[in-house]
Amino acid sequence: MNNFQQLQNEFEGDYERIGASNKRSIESTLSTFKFIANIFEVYLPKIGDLLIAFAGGRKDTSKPHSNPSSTPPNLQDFDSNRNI
Amino acid sequence: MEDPEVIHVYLAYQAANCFDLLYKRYGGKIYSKCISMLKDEALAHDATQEVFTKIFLNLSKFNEKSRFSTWVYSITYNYCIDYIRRKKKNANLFMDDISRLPEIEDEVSDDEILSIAVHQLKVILEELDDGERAILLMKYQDGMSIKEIASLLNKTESAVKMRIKRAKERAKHLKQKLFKEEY
Repeated sequence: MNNFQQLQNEFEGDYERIGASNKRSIESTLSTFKFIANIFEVYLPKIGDLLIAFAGGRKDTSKPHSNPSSTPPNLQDFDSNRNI
Repeated sequence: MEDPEVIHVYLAYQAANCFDLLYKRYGGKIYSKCISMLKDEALAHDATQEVFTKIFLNLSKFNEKSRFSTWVYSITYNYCIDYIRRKKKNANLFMDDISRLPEIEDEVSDDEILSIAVHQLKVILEELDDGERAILLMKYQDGMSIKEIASLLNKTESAVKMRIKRAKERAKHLKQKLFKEEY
């Protein structure tokens, strides 16, 4: 261990006194960040819907749902040829 | 458990004991660098908290191309350098204009720098410029290579070598000046 590293060790020794309280502060900051991130993750899409609703919009239900059992458009010709 | 392994477990499970382990390994070292650079206990405490928070929030960005310690130290140095720059209103800690520096005749050997007593080194580091102090810490305390220092400071390797040479010369000069009776 060289003189620079010995000096580092001295400072590290000083830090042990206050290290625990600093650690608690860091943990609390990190959990706050995590909490905010979770809120965004879970509620952001809902907030979007809510804002749309407030703006007077509503879900577009006019489009007909595709029928999964129907023949895809690119295979319609194939089907009609087969019937012949 | 090696650092990369601890990081993977932390990222996968947010395990508290992984946080504890990394804090135990690096908390004191980060503080040591912050106090050496900022020369103020209260500032160093705050800086340690902010650097550690930054490290954990960006842990997923650690790409394992370098050692984890090098990555941690570069975040720490960058934080301190930015703080000093802001405080001194955009002071350039690592100015490029090396042509203005006086020519150094004989290079100070590593042995000469590493033989300085710890109590003397503490005073000498305080007296050095912020840039000189940072570069000596990177080289002798953290064992960073010239390439790593150059990439951290965004300088060429030859500029870094010149800076180190200058800083060593200044350290030697300060030792002679401040510790005449011990010299």
